[in-house]
Amino acid sequence: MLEITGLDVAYGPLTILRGVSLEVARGEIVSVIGSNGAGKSTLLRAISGLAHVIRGSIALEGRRLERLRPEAVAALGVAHVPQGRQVIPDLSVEDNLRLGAWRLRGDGARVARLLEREYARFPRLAERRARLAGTLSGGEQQMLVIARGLVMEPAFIMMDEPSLGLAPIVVDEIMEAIRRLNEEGLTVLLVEQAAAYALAIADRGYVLKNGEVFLSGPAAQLRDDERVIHGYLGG
Amino acid sequence: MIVQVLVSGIAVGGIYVLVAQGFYITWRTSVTLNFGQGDFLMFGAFVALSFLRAGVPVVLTAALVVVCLAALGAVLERVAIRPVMTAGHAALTWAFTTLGVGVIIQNAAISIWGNSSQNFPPLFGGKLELLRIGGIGVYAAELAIIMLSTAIMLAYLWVLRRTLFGKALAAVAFSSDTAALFGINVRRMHMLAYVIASVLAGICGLLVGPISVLHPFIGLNFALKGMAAAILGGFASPLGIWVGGLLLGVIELSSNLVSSQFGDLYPFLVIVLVLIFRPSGLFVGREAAVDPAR
Amino acid sequence: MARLVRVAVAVAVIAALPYVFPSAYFTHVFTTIAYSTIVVLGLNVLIGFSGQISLGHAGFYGVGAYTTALLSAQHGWSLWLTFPAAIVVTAAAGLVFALPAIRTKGLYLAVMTIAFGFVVEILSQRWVEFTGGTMGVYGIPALSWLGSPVGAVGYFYVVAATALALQLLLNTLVGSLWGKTLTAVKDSEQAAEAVGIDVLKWKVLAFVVSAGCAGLGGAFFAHQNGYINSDAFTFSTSLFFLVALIVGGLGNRYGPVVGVSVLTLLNQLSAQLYEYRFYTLGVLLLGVLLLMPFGIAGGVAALARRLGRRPAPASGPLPAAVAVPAAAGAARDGIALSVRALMKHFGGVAAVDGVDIEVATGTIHALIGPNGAGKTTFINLVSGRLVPDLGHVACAGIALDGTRPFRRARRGVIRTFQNLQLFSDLTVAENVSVGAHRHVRATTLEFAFGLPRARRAEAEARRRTAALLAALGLAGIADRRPDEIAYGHRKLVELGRALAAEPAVLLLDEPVAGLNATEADQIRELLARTRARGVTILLIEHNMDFVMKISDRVTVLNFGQKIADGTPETVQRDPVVLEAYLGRRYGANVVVTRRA
Repeated sequence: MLEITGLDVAYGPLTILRGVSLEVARGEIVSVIGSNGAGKSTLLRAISGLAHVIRGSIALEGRRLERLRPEAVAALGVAHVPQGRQVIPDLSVEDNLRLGAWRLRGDGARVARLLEREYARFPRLAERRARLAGTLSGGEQQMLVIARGLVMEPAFIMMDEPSLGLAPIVVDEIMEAIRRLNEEGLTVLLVEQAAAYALAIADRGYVLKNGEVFLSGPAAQLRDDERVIHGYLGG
Repeated sequence: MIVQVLVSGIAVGGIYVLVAQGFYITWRTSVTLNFGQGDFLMFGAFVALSFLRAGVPVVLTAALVVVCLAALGAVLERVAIRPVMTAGHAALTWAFTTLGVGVIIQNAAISIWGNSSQNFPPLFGGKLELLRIGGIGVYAAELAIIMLSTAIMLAYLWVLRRTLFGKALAAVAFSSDTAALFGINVRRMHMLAYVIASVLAGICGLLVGPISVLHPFIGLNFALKGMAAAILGGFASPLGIWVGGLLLGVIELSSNLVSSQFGDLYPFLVIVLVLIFRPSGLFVGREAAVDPAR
Repeated sequence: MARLVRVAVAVAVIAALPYVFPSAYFTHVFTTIAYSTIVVLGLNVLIGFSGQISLGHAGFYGVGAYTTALLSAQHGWSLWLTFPAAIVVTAAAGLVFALPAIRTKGLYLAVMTIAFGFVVEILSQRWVEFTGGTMGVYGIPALSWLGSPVGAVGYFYVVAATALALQLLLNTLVGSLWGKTLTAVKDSEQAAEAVGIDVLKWKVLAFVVSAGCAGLGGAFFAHQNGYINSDAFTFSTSLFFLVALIVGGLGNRYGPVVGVSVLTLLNQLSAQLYEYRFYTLGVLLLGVLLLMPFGIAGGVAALARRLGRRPAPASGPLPAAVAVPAAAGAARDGIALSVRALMKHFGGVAAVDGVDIEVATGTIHALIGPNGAGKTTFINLVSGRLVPDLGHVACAGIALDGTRPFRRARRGVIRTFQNLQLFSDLTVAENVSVGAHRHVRATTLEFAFGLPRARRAEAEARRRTAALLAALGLAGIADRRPDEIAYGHRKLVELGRALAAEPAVLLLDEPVAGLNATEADQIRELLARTRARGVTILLIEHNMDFVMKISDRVTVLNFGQKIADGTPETVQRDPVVLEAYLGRRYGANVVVTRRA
């Protein structure tokens, strides 16, 4: 479904990614792991149109993405849940979700239905729908940004370090939610630093190190591969 | 007498509030503002003047001013803001370009209407018509300004707080990258913010005409006081700006009462003092969403 | 020699002007150009070189004009006294304004300067007892020499000569280490502080200098016509100065004279187009900013640079075994950097939560940890950029608590930046020279007149820079700007700038981020040599190969707390560390064997 070939991505004068190739088949969960600074966030930003691609290609079911503006990529059904739980803090939970459905803003009935579906999926958000998003706990905010990404019924969702800064129990909950979504047919590209969580639910994984793909393979194999640790801590 | 000053001060302050709300919306979304906002106000006043003199009814004049200034705002964003927001330009270049546009507008006004003071026909039964409310004398025009500026301010708040569009603006203000991920067209939002700010300036012009001296050089004065109102309010909330602007108007008229020799000196001294001692505004508490002192 | 020729040409032009254009009208225009240039030369120092802003410079202009006008017309002072008085009073006004104002930046500073301009305008208009208001001050005496008035042409010569002298003085200043330091403040206040520059003091200085110039220009203006009134000190005047500077070229030495001349001549020419002449200012401002942001003089200079540009060489290997200059002032042994119980909260979240670290002298100590662990906050706390809620930082036993970043830098705690804060308007060599700031003792006046102590400081800086550039292999690109050289070289320049300060403790924030393996090895080698010289290094990095090879000790942070501390090997095998990076399961039951 998603095919990336020979990708070089820049941030100002720095080349962050060099020659990265990966693919995500429909219905898979693919994890990209690696230490910070490895370029994982930049990879997602390149796909959704926020980062500058110098070389290489990104193709979604054959359609090339690397020159598109973010609005256009979003319109193709790619949802990007960015790092750091970017909820709009001064808006309510419901407003945040509505913004997620921005492209459908003319169709009130459909938006209402989509919102209800997310509330059904994440009951805790339903309870707090009128609360300001900034007052939610970390885990609830993470659920909110995921729900916000899902509101538009995307075919493909990318998540950037959903476990960051969350307690292990909460992370388990989030990961479980992701797994369930995948069972319902959602294709997931999951970027994580914490390899354990990411590899536990993924089908396949890639390890990024210093902007390049260091290792890749089925998650089950990577889970037991010592070299993954070298990808993080050198040696 | 004191009530008189209070009422007049609030009327004048209402204008400053509206100018400042224009600054607020563009500052929030793009961390820029129109240094020529006052000249836009002046231009709106003159456009209104021409239409009114031609016999066009007040409501239609207002609509025409809105359309005219909306167009100006779009042009401003396209010409003076968007081109200089790229990395190749110094951080405050937009201040100079908008200033440049303001000067051009000022000169256009001089060309079209001459550079002397003009008389604005009364909008609401004349400035000199004294109403008696609860035993206190109030000019009809001032009352109208207070009511209208409050109404507009409430409408503005309503748009920001209640409509999806206003919330999309909040999203862009928070993070334009995140907003883009929802499919929000960030560029168009910036332009719309400028259109709204310019329309506000135009409406101010229409309101200001009857109570103020009208000539092409009044622009900077209003812009500066609008900025003062925004600064007093901390640039962070429309409510703070509302209070800040009204306060400024009252200070201005009170100081005139005490000593009219130095005219506008006192409001400007207040600006300088506030900037030195309380740059985050008079209302400490909520952190300013975007720090203007950058 | 070339300089002398240029000065001679300028003198000749000035001398000839009143004869080529003999009418009184032209002499008046030329005199106006001359004293306006004086004002804009000062404005250029403020905006173009120190990176601040003033939209109210007519205020200072007015202060100077009124000072000399009132003292001479109403109190009969001699012009030999009133002119210096005008400069001093205006400079003092600049100081009084700047002291509170420079803590504001950007939009707020702009608004303050506009307000200042307005205050002066209102005072000049309304304080009629003092300034005469719109009626103004009459009977301002003309300049006379030995009893008789110098006349219009004579006056022009005096003003023009002064303008020329000021231009030469400023050229000297700007070309010297002083000028580079001011430009450094403009390009990156943070980086300037990091090498020991007292940024606030320099910003005030720029204001005072520019105010003084404006006062001098105003004084010349006052004596030109024998009469001044408040109409001359409006926002339009401030705008004129600003537009002249932008049109001429902000930050270019000759921007002021070019801009003022062009603007004045355009105004004169367009007087023909009666109605449309007013548009010149606004259209010029907008047009120049959009189409020629460097202005005329600046555009020419940029073009010349681009035409002379050859492609910069790629990074090459470091010259072998060239010694890194010795670090003075480092504690011979013991603890170079001591951090105790350091804590910093941001709105309820502990970014750094009670961290203790001791870095032994002459060692390399690495700070690692997952995203958001608090490493950059830690460096900011040690360098003084952030104030801790609790805790102590000491360098070689001397407490640093409560001191500002530039003072810590002066004690030898020098940092680099994750996102590279090079001085973009300075060359590679100049960037490194400015790094040695904390060793420079000469004052502004000494630099302005090329006095011995200033010249010695320049020579010393040159020597030091040459040695460092040689050691870093950068000698070949010494006169390039940062945006012209490869990223790997830029990292080396920032390191060179830090080394020029002769640090006792070097704080490096991601020194090899974005570099390829070869370049990272170069830096590694360089750091090893630096350590050999007795410099203590604390670095943050994500590149673990690099960290593990170079570090003597490694501290691991997570959620703001220290979770491990030891040699690289110990840390690599520590289950707690593994769990922090990779997640719970890795910590629990994975046994890591070392690769043979």
